[in-house]
Amino acid sequence: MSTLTQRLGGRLEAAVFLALGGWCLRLLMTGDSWLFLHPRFRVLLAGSAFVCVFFGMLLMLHPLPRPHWRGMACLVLTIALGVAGQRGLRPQGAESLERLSQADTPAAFTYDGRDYLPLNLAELYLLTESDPPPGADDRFALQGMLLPDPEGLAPGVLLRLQIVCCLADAVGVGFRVEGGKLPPPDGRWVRLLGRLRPVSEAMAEAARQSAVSSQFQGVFVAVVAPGHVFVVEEVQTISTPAMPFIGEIRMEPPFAY
Amino acid sequence: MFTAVSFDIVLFCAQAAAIVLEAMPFLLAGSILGACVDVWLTPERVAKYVPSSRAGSICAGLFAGVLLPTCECGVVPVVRRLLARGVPSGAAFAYLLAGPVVNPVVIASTWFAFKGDPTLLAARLGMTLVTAGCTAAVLAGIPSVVALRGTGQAAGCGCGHDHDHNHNGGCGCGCDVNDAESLPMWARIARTASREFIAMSQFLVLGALAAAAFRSFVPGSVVQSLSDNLPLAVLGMMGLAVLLSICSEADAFVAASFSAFPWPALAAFTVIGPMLDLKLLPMFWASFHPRVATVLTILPFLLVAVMALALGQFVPLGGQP
Repeated sequence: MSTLTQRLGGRLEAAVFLALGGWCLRLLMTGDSWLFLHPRFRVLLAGSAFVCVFFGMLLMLHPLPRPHWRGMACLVLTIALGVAGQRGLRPQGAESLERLSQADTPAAFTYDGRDYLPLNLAELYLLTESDPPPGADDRFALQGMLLPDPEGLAPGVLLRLQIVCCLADAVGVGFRVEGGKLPPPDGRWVRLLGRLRPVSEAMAEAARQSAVSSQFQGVFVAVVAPGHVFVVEEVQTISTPAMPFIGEIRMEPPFAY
Repeated sequence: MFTAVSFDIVLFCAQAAAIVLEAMPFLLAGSILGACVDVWLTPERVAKYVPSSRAGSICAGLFAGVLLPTCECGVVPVVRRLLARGVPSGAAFAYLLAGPVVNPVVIASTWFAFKGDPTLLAARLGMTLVTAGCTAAVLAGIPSVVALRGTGQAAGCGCGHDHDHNHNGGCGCGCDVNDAESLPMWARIARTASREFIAMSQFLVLGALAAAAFRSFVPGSVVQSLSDNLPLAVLGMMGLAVLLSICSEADAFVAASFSAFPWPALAAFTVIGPMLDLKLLPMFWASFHPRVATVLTILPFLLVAVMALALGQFVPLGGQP
């Protein structure tokens, strides 16, 4: 390898570090880091970004003698994939997640003189497993994507992704929903107000017999509450929330919604 | 509006980037820690702090994660440096396999994911310690520097070269000891760490691409269909852990979502993932002697499978404990 190539490669290696650090900082500043990582990783991502920028500046001044071409190519590929994913997943009409208005969650949604407790699907799922489970008179407000029930047991499934660390470990959490006001389950974001009812014996048996597991497009693993159906009393179509994923689960009110 | 195919491609891009972004802080930390080890850990300190007996050094490695928590993404650079500095192979490989699980963060996340049930947490820790201990015992007889891929020289940078020679002669290892000696200590550490990071990141990215492709283009129902048969469930979940390459902090939550699987299969999923996945495999083969890499690839898988199947004989099939 010629000396000139080595020098250029050394500077290019520094530039790759600077680009990686800069991209991470941009993700943080625009709020788009949420598309990839749970918010608790923001500090770690910021730390990584600054370390990469520091490495880049250091290597610009004191380049390593033999540039690592494959490593550089892989990091550039990562940035390219990330930008593609960022553009593809960002809610339509939004330049970045941060610029969407934050959902102003009230203590309760009121409809027809009744109060509905807002909580997210994972929180309601855990409530159904608590002892005692929610009663027939408890009313809840949920938000999520309305999708067809893969097993065909209900008119639709309300689903939302729960993220623990990153998008790659996302798990779909959902409830079967029913009710006369339901729109077509075409993936639209909705807020549903309603109550829980235990599944009928017939539905439980049909679920046991079903050869089709709960599989939704783009969701590798999904859990649909087996013991309850959400009976919808009111449907409100909403835009994609500022934070589309579930990142927090609380065990008592006020829930994270 | 996306078509199904284009949505899968977008998801593939985002998931691959997400895996790299999630692992990056830990790989950076591991690279910096490894570079610090390179500077700080002298043979005298190794002799002082690491037990000399084989059993003692393995035990030290098994529980080192409590003091030095790391995830599987960052542990390989650290272990490379430890070996290069003469830490006994038993201790280094026990730490490599147990450190990502036997640490407070992962113990807490497993406890929370399985809603405070101690059975699966105990199974995870027990199986991890046994697997890491046995594998480390097998590898303990190999001299540290021989375990590293390369010529077997005691190189502080882990490149496999004797640092008394001039690295600027085109050996390709990336070390520039002569030039670097004029820099302050912190700059030398940073340069070494940056090289370690960029060298390891190529394997991280390749693993992330493979894992994202699996998640994006293979339906999860393929795995779900194995839940009724214990051997298939155990092997299926272990294979899934390798293919998904989930961080050890998060894998318990994913395992918990496979509620129809027998719990030994879920335990096997959480044990094998931090020891062997698509990010780690290329790192093993690039960092360690081929025989060592072969042992690290095969033995943990066999041990975990046997233990999970044995556990399954003592409990009824069904969901989580």
